[in-house]
Amino acid sequence: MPDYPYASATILLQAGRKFEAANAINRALKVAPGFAPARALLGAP
Amino acid sequence: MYGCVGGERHRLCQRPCSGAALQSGSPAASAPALAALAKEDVPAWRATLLELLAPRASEPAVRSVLEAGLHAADPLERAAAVRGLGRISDSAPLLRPLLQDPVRLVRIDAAWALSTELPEGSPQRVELDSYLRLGLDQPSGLARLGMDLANRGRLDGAMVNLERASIRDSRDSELNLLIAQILVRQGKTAEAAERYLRAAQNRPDDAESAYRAALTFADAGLNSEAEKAMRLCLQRDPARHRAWYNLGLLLVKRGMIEEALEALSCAEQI
Repeated sequence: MPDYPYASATILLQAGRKFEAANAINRALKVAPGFAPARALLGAP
Repeated sequence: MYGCVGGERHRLCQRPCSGAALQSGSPAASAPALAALAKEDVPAWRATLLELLAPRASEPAVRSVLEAGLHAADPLERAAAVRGLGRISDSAPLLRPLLQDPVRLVRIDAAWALSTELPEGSPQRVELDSYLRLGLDQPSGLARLGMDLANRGRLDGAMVNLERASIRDSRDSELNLLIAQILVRQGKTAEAAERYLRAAQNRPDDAESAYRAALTFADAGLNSEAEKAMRLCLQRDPARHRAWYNLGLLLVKRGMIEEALEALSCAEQI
């Protein structure tokens, strides 16, 4: 389920924890490489 | 395997064994019941097996025996087949001829299944309404009438009867679930959530009702209640990853960032 780490990523980004957010995005993309919302977040951290 | 060897004894064992397997919810459970049905020649047992198979009516093999059951000589079998096929949305053309069945039991079951399409004043509608009125001194009869009205979109009338039933039997979880569904349709989400929660409280193993309560509380904007219900769900079913995920989202809304991340981590690890 890529939306679980993706949700963590969005929370971490809002909290300014960019490194942890990047890890969460990578976990989401590992589960589903084409998961568009996570790919869209990639540029943010 | 005690008692499960040889001819008649084997058949006698197959009846309860296949029934127990079906009630266990196992995905492969239809096969023994279908095998038992193929060998069974006592109409009452055949009807019982059809009844037990009914929740699996969407499986092609089960649907096939139910369709055959519509043409059985015994009315118990026909009625069981009607009740089973009544669970499938595209079965109406198969059931309509049974509205003319010579046996009232079968006609009533067919009318119940086709209630939404029976014209007011038609003999079938009148017969069904008369049957439904007979049970109004019991909570189950009130609930049945309420269900029929709800199925026909008469939500206010449905609620009156279901509430009456609920006053007499407030611990009936199925009734609370039904009321909750109608309240959702009426847009009364907070009240619906309370009903889902009541249903969950009355069944200590029921994680699903607690989950629905949580989601409905969240829809109503009652996040604290939603969190409590979601935790109740997870207490009962800790492997429900979607509940951990939704708990995480609820906790974020409440500003509890670390707890939210922890819940999402649980969801991710399951």
